[in-house]
Amino acid sequence: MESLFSLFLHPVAAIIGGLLASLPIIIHLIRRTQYKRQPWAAMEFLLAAQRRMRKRMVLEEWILLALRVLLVLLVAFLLSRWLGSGASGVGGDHIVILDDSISMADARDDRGTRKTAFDNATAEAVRLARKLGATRGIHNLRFFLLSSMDEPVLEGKAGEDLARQAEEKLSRLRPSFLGLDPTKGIDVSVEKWAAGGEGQNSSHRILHLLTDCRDTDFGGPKQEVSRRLMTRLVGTGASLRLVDVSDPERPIGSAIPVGHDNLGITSLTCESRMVVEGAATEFVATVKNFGSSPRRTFFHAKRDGVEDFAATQPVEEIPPGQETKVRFTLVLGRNNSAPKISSGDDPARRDQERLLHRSWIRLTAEIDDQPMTGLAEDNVRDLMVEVVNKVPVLLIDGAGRAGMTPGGDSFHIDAALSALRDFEPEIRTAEELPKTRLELYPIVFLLNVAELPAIEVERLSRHVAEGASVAWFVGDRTRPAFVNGLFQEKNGIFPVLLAPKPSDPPMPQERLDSRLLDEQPKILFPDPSHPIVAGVYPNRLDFRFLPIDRHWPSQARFQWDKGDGAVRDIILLPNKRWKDDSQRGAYRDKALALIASFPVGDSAATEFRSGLDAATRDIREALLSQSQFRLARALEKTLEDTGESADSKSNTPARPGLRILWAKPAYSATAKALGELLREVQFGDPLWVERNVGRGKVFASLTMAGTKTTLGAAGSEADGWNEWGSGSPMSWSYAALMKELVRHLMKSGDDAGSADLVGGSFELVRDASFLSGSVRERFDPQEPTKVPGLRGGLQRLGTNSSDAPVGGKIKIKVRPPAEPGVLYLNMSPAVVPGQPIPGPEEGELEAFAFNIDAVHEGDLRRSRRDLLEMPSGGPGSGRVVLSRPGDGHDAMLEPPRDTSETWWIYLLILGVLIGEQAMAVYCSHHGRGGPDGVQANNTPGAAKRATRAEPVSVGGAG
Amino acid sequence: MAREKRPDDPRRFLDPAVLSRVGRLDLRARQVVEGYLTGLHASPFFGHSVEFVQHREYTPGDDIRHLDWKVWSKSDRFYIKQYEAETNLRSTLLVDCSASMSYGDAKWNKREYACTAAACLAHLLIGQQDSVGMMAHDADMRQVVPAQSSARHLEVILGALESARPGNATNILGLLRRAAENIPQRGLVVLFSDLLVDRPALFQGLKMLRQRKHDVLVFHVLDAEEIDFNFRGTTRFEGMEAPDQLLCDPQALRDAYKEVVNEYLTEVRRGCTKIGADYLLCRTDDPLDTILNKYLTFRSDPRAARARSGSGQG
Repeated sequence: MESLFSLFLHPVAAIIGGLLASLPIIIHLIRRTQYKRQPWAAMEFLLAAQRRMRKRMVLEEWILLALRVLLVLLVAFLLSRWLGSGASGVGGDHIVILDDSISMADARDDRGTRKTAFDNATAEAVRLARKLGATRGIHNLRFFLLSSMDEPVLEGKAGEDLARQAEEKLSRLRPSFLGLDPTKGIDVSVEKWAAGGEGQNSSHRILHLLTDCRDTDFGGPKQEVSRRLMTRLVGTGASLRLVDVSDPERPIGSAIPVGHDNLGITSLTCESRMVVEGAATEFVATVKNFGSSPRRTFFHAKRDGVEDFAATQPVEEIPPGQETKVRFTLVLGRNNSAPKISSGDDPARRDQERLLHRSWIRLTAEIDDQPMTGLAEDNVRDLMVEVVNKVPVLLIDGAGRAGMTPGGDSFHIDAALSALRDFEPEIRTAEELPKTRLELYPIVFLLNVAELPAIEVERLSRHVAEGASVAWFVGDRTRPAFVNGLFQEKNGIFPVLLAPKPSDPPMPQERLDSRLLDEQPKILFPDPSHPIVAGVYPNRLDFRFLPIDRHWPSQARFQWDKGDGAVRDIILLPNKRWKDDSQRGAYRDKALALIASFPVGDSAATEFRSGLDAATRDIREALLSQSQFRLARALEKTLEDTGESADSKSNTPARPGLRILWAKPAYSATAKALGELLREVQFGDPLWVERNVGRGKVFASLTMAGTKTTLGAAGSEADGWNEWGSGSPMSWSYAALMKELVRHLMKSGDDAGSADLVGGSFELVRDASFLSGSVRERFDPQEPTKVPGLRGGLQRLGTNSSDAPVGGKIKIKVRPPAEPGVLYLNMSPAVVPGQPIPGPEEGELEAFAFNIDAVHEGDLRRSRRDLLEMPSGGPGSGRVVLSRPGDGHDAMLEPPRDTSETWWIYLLILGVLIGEQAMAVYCSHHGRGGPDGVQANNTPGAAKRATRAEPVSVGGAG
Repeated sequence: MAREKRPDDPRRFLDPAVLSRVGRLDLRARQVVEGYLTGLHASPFFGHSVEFVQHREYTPGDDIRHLDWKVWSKSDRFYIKQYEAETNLRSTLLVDCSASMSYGDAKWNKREYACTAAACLAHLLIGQQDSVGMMAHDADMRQVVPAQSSARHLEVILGALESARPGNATNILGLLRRAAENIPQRGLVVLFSDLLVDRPALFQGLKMLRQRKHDVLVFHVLDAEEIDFNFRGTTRFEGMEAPDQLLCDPQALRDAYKEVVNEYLTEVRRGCTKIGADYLLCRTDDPLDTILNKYLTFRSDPRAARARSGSGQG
C-alpha cells in the first residue's frame, strides 16, 4: 500500500490520475455545450414536468456521475501498478545466495564428468548478472555463499562485466561440507535490507536463492519455519525467487519432481567408549536409502586407512526411505606403546602415563554407491576409537580407606571388576578426586560419598556430558540434600530424589524371617531385556535369598520420574505388606473387578474354563493374605499360566494354558489390565535406576555396594544394608551384575560414539592444573579419492595456544574443520614436580572425527511446489516464485503486487461498471416507454422535426 | 393533397381528400338556431313551411296572407295559421393564429391543420346553404369575416385564413368575449386552437358563448410531439409565446411531461363537457378526413345528439 500511495503521490501520476478522475465531469460539461435548440409551444407543461422531476433527476445524475468517477478512479488504480519502477526501468536491488551446503554436491553424469547442483547454481548466477544487465534500469547484485553470509563474494551492477567476473570467480567455488539451512539465507537477507535503510528501492528487492529445494529444508518440520521466514520477507515488500538447481530439471506443473537416489551412512558407533586391545568389539553402521527405489550396496571398513576385510560385507536390500544396521566385529590393537604403570606409582603419575600413551584408531566406514550421480560425500564416515589395554574404572570411596577393607564398598566392587579381564579398577578417596584426570576414566563409581566440592561436581557433570558414566552407590554417609541437589531434572548427575532418611534396619526376627521364611524375591526386574539384568533374570525367583535389609527410599515417583522414560528402572524392591486396610481394599476391588471380567461364560473360551476358575480361586485366596506378594504371585501365575498336561494317574485331562487365552485379541484388554495390576501390586521402591545425561549415563544404586557400614564405630556386618557382596547364597550374582553394569555404562549415552559434525561448534574444556596450555592441532581430511572433484589433502592447522586458565579450566578453542576428517589435539602436559619434563613431541593426544550431516544432507528428496511458492499478500507485499534455472527473471521484474492484482478489485470494477451501465440506461430512459411506447425518431414527423432541431453551441446563433 | 399546393394558395386549405370524405355529410346544429333560409336546422321563428304548428288570433299588423279562411268561414273569427319555419345555420369559425400554432412542420403545423379543418367545415356549411363567418385571432382579433352563405363567401374565408399569420400569444378570454358580443344570433361557434392558454379564462369564455345559446364546438389541435414528447439528446426548449427556456434531457422528462399533458387534456375535456361544448382532440398526425368524418357522423346521430344536448344543457 505504501508503494501504491507513493505512486499516486508522484506529481505526474497525480496529474494523470486527476485528469482521468475528472473525465466524466469534463465530458458532462462538454456535452452541455452541445445541444439542440427546439422552439416549443407547450413550455408550460415542460416546465411543470421539469419542476416535478427536478429532485429525482438531480439525484440520478449525481449517482451516475459518482459511478463514472469511481469507475475511472478504479481503472486508474488498476493501471497505477504500471507506473512502478519495473515497467519503467527503475531497476532493483538483488541478493543472490548460492546454497553451498553439501547436498548441493548432488551430481549428475554429464558426459563422463560430474556436474553438481552447485555448478548449476553458479551458471544461473552468471546468467542472472548478464540478463539483468540487458534489461532497463540499474540492477545492483550481491552474490553470497550461504555458508558465509557476512560478506558478499561479488557485487556490482548487472551487466556483462559483472557476468564475466561472476563466471571467473564463482566457477572456482565448490560446495562446502556443511549442512546449511537455506531458509537462514532468507532471514539474513531481510536483516541486510533492513540494515540498508530506506535509500534502496523497496519495491524491487529480490532475493534469488539458488538451492536444491529439498524437502528437508522446506517441508516436514521445517515447513512452518520456512513459511514464516518467507512471509516475513514478502511482508517487507521484497520478493523471493527460489531457483531449483537440482537435477533433473523440475518439470513445469509437477508438484513433486523426482530427485536422485542416494545411499548414505548416517551413523557409525562402537559398542563402548573404549576398545580393549585384543578384544572383539562390535561396531554398527547405519546405512539409509534416501531414494525412491530399493537399493543394495557393499560395505567396507578401514582401520587407519587399511581395509579390514573382517568387516567387508554386502548390505541386504534396503527399501526406499528405510535404513539398515550393518554390524561388524573387529579386534583392534594399539598403534603405539602401552603405558608403563605399576601399582606403586603415584596416582597422578599413573594418570599421566596413561594420557601420554593414548592410542587412537581411525575407523572409516564406506559403502559403494553410484559414483557419478547423487551425493558421494555421505558414503564415507569416520569414527575415532581409543584402544586401551584395560578400561580404567575409577572408584571413589566416600569411606576412604575403610571402604577398601573387606565388606567395604570399593572392596567388593574392586573384587568384582578385578576378576574381569577388560577392566582395571582405580580406587581413590574422595579427597583424591581433584587430582584425578577424569578424561581417562569412562566410568566413575561414587561409593557412599557424602559430599563433593562444587568444582568436582562440575568436572563430573562435564565428564558425563562428554560421554562418560557415573555410577552412584548410596550408603550411610550419603547426604540426601547433596545428591538431591544434583538431580536438576534432565541434566543432573544423580537420577532420583532421595527421601530424607534411609529405611530403618529390620528387627532381628524380621531379619531372620526374611532369610528363612519369606518366599518373595527380594529384588525384581521390571525390564527383563535390560542388558544388565538379562543374564540373571531366569534366576529371578532365587533372589528370595537376597534380602535387602536397608535401602534409601526415593521420594514420591512423580517428583523425579516424569513418565517420559528418561529414568529407567533396572531393579525394583517388592512391595511386602499392605500399608493399611484402605490400600488393601482398593486393590481388592480392582482384583475382583478383574475377575468379573474373566470370560468364564464365553463360548470361545470354554476350554479355558478350568484354568480361569483356578486363577479366580488363587486370586481370591491371595486377597485374604496380608502379603502383597501373594496377590502378585496369583496375578503373575494367571498371566503366565502354561496349563497342565493330562495325568493318567489322577485321570486329569490336559488343560490349556491361560497364556494362549490372553494372546487372543479379544482378551488382550483383560491381559493388559492384569499386567498393570500386577505391576502396581508387585513393584515397590527403586533400587537401581539409570538416566542418560548428555552423551553419558548416570546410574544410582539406592543400597550400599558393600556389606557393612563404615560410619562411626559401627562396622559390623550386622549393620550392613545387604549381603549381596558376600554372605548370601545369591552373592554370585553380585559379580555378574557388576560386570554387566560396567559394560553397559561403557556404552555411554544414546549418541555415544557418534562423531562431531562438520561446521558444528567445538570447544574443549580441560583442567588447567594438568596442562601447560600449549595445544598443537592436526587435521587429516577424509580420503580425497572418495570425494571426487572436491578439495582434499592434509591440512595442518598449526599450533594454537589455548585461552588463559579461568577458574581452573582451560578452554581450548579450535576452529571447527570445514570438511570431514579427523582432528588431533596434542596438549602439552604440565610439569609434574619430581617427574621428567615431557619432550616437545610428547603430549596428551585426543582425536575427534568430523563427518557431514548425512542424516539431513543425504536426503535429496525435493520439496513440493506449493511449499516453495507464495502469492503476494496484498499491496506492498512481495511474493515467492519458484523457477528453474534460466526462467523467471522477467516475472520477478514486474511491479510488486498491490491491491490492483487482487481479485476483489476486478469484482468491484465489474460491479461499478454494471451499476454505471444500469444507471446510464435508466437515466437515458431506454425501454421506459409509456403506454403508447417510445417511437423516438422513427415517426416521419419526428424525423422531419429532427432536421429542424439544429445543434448549436452556447452563445451561438440560435 | 392540400400540402402539395403552393404554400400561399388559400385553396390549399380545401383538402380534396377531406372534402370527398365529409362532402356527403351534414353539419347539423344540435340545437335550434336562428336563420332565414330554408335548411337543415330548425328555427325558433314561425315561417313558411309545410309543417303546421298552431293557430292564433289575428292581431292588427299580421300579414293577412296567413289568415286561415276556413276557420273564419266556420267561426267568423280571424285566426292566423302558423307553420314551423326551417332556417339556415349561422356558423362562426374561431381560428387561433397565435405563435404557438406555428409549432410543427412548416408545411403541416397546427395552424395549417386548424385552417384546413376550418376551411373544410366552411365548405361543408356553405354547401348546405348555411352562413359561415370566421374570426382569426391571437392576442387580438386579426381577421373577421361576417357570416354569409354565398358560394363566393368561401373564397373570402379562405383568403382570410391565409392572411391570418401567427403572431402573439393568445388572449382567449378577450377573444371569446368579443366573439360572443359580435355574433348577434345564436349559432354554431367552432373554435380551432391548441388551447395553450389559461384554463379558467378558456372555460369562462366558453361559458359566455354557451350562455348566449351558441352551439360551441372546440377543435383542440395539438402536435403529436406535444403529446408524445419524443425527443432525444440534450435540447434547449425555447418558448414560442413566452421567453422561457429549458435545457434538459428530454427523455428524462418524458414521463413527467406526459403526465402533465394528460392532466391538462383531462382538465380541458372535462371543462368543455361540463360547459356543454363539443370537444374534439386533433393530433396533427391524425388524418383530418377521418377525424371530421368520424365526428360529423357521430354528430348526425340523433341519439348521440340528444345525449350530448342533454348533458350540454345541464
